[in-house]
Order: sequence, then structure tokens, then C-alpha cells
Amino acid sequence: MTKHWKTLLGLTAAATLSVGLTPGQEAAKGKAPVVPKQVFEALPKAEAPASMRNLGQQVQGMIAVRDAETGELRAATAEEHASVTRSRARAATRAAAGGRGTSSGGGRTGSIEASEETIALPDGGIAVRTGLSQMEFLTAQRQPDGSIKFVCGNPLHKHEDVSMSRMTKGERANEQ
Amino acid sequence: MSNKFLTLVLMLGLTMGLFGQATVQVFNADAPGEGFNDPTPAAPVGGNPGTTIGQQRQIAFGYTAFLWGQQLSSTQTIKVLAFFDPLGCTPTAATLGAAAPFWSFANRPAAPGFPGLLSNTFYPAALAEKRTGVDITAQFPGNDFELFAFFNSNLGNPGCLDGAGWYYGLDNNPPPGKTNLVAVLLHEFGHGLGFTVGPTNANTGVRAAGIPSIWELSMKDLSTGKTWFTMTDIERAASARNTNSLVWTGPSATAAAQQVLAPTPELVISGPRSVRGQYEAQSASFGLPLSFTGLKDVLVPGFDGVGVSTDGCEPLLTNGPNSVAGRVALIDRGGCTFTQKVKNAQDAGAIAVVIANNAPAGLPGMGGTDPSIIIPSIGVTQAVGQALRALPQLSNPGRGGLPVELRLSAVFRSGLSGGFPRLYAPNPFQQGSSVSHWDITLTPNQLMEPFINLDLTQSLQPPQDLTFPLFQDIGW
Repeated sequence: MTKHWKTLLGLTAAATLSVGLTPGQEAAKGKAPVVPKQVFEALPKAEAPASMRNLGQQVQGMIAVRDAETGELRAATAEEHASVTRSRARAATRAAAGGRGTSSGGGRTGSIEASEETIALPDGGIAVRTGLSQMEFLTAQRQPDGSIKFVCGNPLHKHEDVSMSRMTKGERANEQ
Repeated sequence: MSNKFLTLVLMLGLTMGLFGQATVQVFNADAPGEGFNDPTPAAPVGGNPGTTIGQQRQIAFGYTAFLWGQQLSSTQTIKVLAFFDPLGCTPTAATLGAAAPFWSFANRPAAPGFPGLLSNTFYPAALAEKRTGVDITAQFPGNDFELFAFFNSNLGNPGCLDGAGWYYGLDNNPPPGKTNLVAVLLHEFGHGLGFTVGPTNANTGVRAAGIPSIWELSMKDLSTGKTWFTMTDIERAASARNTNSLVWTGPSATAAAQQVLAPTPELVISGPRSVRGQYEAQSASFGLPLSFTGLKDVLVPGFDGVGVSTDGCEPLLTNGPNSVAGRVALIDRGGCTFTQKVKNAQDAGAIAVVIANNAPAGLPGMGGTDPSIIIPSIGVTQAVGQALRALPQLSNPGRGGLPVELRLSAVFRSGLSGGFPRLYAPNPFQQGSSVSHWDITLTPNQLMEPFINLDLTQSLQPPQDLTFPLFQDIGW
């Protein structure tokens, strides 16, 4: 092996070692990953399809409330549920008053389906468009100690006592 | 081309390959003045140099897209339609948001539309395009995205998890009470890119158009020995609720689990033949942790002489043949907390405790805290407990006991069943959480567990995480 070849091999090996970590792994090791400048540039705009009008209102959030006496999360009562719904409606009204676009330059103009949509393609393939009921929603709930618990679930169908049925690793282990 | 040059090219290729080759492009679908375009001034934070809320949101999304793009490989741009909207809130709880595949694609045997895909199998759009090298979504103008993502624009405002707004830093270091947007995005983008059994309905087992998803090939129920691919709808629905038995059998994730997941304790029994073996055990969140060196001594039954005398909920008997002093005490689960049982055994002089489950499935949780407990303890299955109690050495006090060893295992890893990582399959079914996540027994915490834990890193692959190995199993 020539000296030149050895040098090349050494450089390659060094490069492999130095760049062998993904940015996420570098971050995991406490190093700031090298981030390309494109990350800090404005995102390109897109007009969302007609299927996404009022998406926020359609996402009937998983409504869990903290009981004032016990501090435990529990399912919302009908009155509490109505209160949250009114709050959501007000937020939507404010958003509408803010002049969300409806034609171009951003803004949504339609309504996504709750269930998936299946389409037969001309070439014989099949396409399924994801519906809200297939999505995994992240929710957050403040705990009695002030910390926040993050749960990935589906808010469309759940009005439940989160604290009882969705226990984290530590919580589950605290059973008898 | 010389062999040496070829070797160099291969090495460089390997180097590049470690980074992935995909472009993940996020598109801003918000109207002026809202969401990504929110003009509210903001101070740069955690490496995010944006000076408005909108800019910081855009940069957090761009950074997440960069992290995923460096991990994946595809010739096709992965287009993410994204926006912020007001979502459901209360002062103490909020819907944060979601992301999902915009489309899933499958062909038909009679007219195979997409080379590179298994026939009659649904793939999420981004993966289908990676496999085929074709921008399949281009045939849907205006809907030509591979993912869509939307998040709560009101988070932290009055009435919406008050004060617990988004943390837009890129450094994975949110202050207490804030919600780390990049961590949330990494998780949700994971679903959108393929960490989902969809479009198969996990709750009912019913498939879209009767066609399985690519996930079903690697989802196996250890109770029946069947994969979801071969099950009926009813069998899939039952499997989705079969806690600790629904596993991921893909070779990449299975192999990586040995590197990523923490070793669990084991109970080692040298004899007699009926119970000889190494049994996976549950570590306790209190007391002295075990080491690989382990603790060898004699296992004896602990009796408290009150009610269910084997549950250790009252002070253990210490007289003569009933004594657990200097021994490992065998106690049954139930009736009181784990810490109370172990504390009673410690007070009676036991040097360690083995708690046998009182339910057929799985291991006892062994949770709780009690700083006064200084001995180790483990939990074993009900079957192991029953087999031990059936032995003459343990069926009655004063029969000498059974030599055992408690140690960290070189074989067993947390969150595995039958050597495979578990998928989340609680009973009752939890819509949106069940199946399309790793089980919460995996340790350390994984990005794609149903709970976003504060100790997560931004890594998507070993030695920290199993997300990318699973992606490799489905064809990424």
C-alpha cells in the first residue's frame, strides 16, 4: 500500500468517525449539531387543500379536567364540556376575525374527513387518505405537582379519565 | 476501477449513508398574522434565532425536518403540510397537535401500480415514494403532500394549559412547565413517516379496502403465534388488547433492542429440574439495585400469620423455622404496597425479596418509594411463584429453602417478550395510543412510546432509540 493510499484511507476513516453520528445523536451527546442555514429560513408557503377548513374546530379535543378537590384528572361533566366547547368556538371566532385567507397565500378552505377516504387509482393502485380518526394526537395535562404529562392518543373519541387509564411507566409501577 | 479505489468509494458511500439522503420540506399553510406567521416579538431561545413567535415556530419545524431528513434516505422530497390552529383546551389540559401520513398507497395484484412495493400492502406515502422512486402524490394536485401536521396555536394562553406554552428552543432543554415543540414534532413526524399501523383500524382490526398495512408483517401475537398479516379482523382486535404479548418481530428493531434497552433482573434457579432456569424479573424502583454479579442465597417463604399469610402485609414471623433472617424472602403480590412488603421483610432480617405476581399476565410493577429500604427486591410471574411454592423446600416453613441467585441479566432486556420489543397493547383499548407505539415497559424511554418523556434525546437510532430500526424493518 502506498503512502498516498494510506493517507487517503486514514482521512476516510477519520471522516467516518467524525461524521458517523446523526445530528440527533450529536445532540443526544450534548453537542450542538451542525445545522444548515436552510433550517433558519422561512418555510415555503402552500395553500392547504379544501379538505382542511376549520380543522381545529373539528378536532374535538380529549377533554379531561382536573378535579378541584382531588387534583386528579377526570372526564369532563356535561357543563364543563360545554364550557370548553364555547371556549373553542370563541377561539375560532377570533381566528376568523383575524382574516384567515381563503384563496391563496395560506389559509384552509375545506373540511377534512373524520374517516379515511379510499380512492381507486387509474393504474390499479389504491390510495387511502388519512382521516382524523386515524391520527395519533398529542395531549398535555398538568399534574398536581405542576409537571405536565404528555400522552399520544386520539381526542376525537375520548372523554375519559386520563389519569386512570393512561398510566405512565412510573404510575403503572406504583400499583400494588 | 481498481480495487483500492472501489474500496475508497464504498467507504465514502458508507460514510454518507450514515446520514441519510432525504429532503423533508415543511410548507407553511397559515394565513398572514397567524400560526407560522404570528408577528408577536420573541427573544431567541435555545439556539432558535427567530425574533417572532412565527419565525421560531418555522425554525423548530425546519430543524425537526432536518433531523428526520438526515436519518432517512429517499430520492423523493417528503412534503409536509403544516399549520397552527386553536385546538381543544382547558386551563389544565390541551390537545397539542398531530401529524399523519397524508396518503397511504397500495397496488393490486391484477394491476401492480408501484414497483418496489409488496403487492396488496399499504405503505405510508413517504415510504411508498422512497420504495418506488416516484412522486406518487403528484397525481393529486393541491393534495400532493406526504404528511400533514397541525398544532395548537393557543397553548399557554389563558384558558389553554395556562402558562405552559411551547418551548421553541432547539437544544432539548425546555424549562420546567414548558412544552418542547421539537420533541413533540419528532414524535408526530415519526407517525407521519410510518410509525403507525394505519390505515388498518387497530381497534376493530378492520383493514382499509381489505388490504393490510406494511406494519402487519412484523406485528406478532405471542399468544397465538400469528402475525397481524395472517389474522382475521376479530383476532387483530383481540391482539390489540393482549398486553405484553403483541410484539414487533422485525429483524432490525429486534437486534437493536439488545443494544438500546436496559438489562432486567433475573432469578436464577439451579435446581431441582422442575424449576431450573433463568427467569426474567421486574426491578424495583426502591431499595438496592442489582448488579451483574448478583446475590446468591437461599429463598424461603415469608409468612406474616395474618389473613393471607403469604402477602407480607403485616410484620413477618421471625420465630424458628419461619424466620427469613439472612435469607431471600418469597412473598406474594396483593393486599398492600410493594414497599410495605419489602420493608416488612427487611425488618424481619431478610437480605432480599422476591415478589410473585398474583395475576396471570406479566410481572408485578414493583413501584413505589421508601428511602428506608436498603435491600434489593424483584418481581416474578405468577407461574414462577406457583412453581416455587409447589416445591417441598418452599411449601412449608422450616424445609430449608431453595438456593437462588438474583442478578442483572445478560439476556433479558426491558420491554421484551420472547426476545422481541413489545408494542403498546393495553386492555381496554386506548384509541390513538394502542398499537402504534412502543410499550411503556421499554427502558430507557423511547421516542415512540405513547408518553413524551422529559428524558428523551433527539436521537432516532441506537444506542439511544429504536425508531429508525423499526423504520428499516418496514422498508426505509
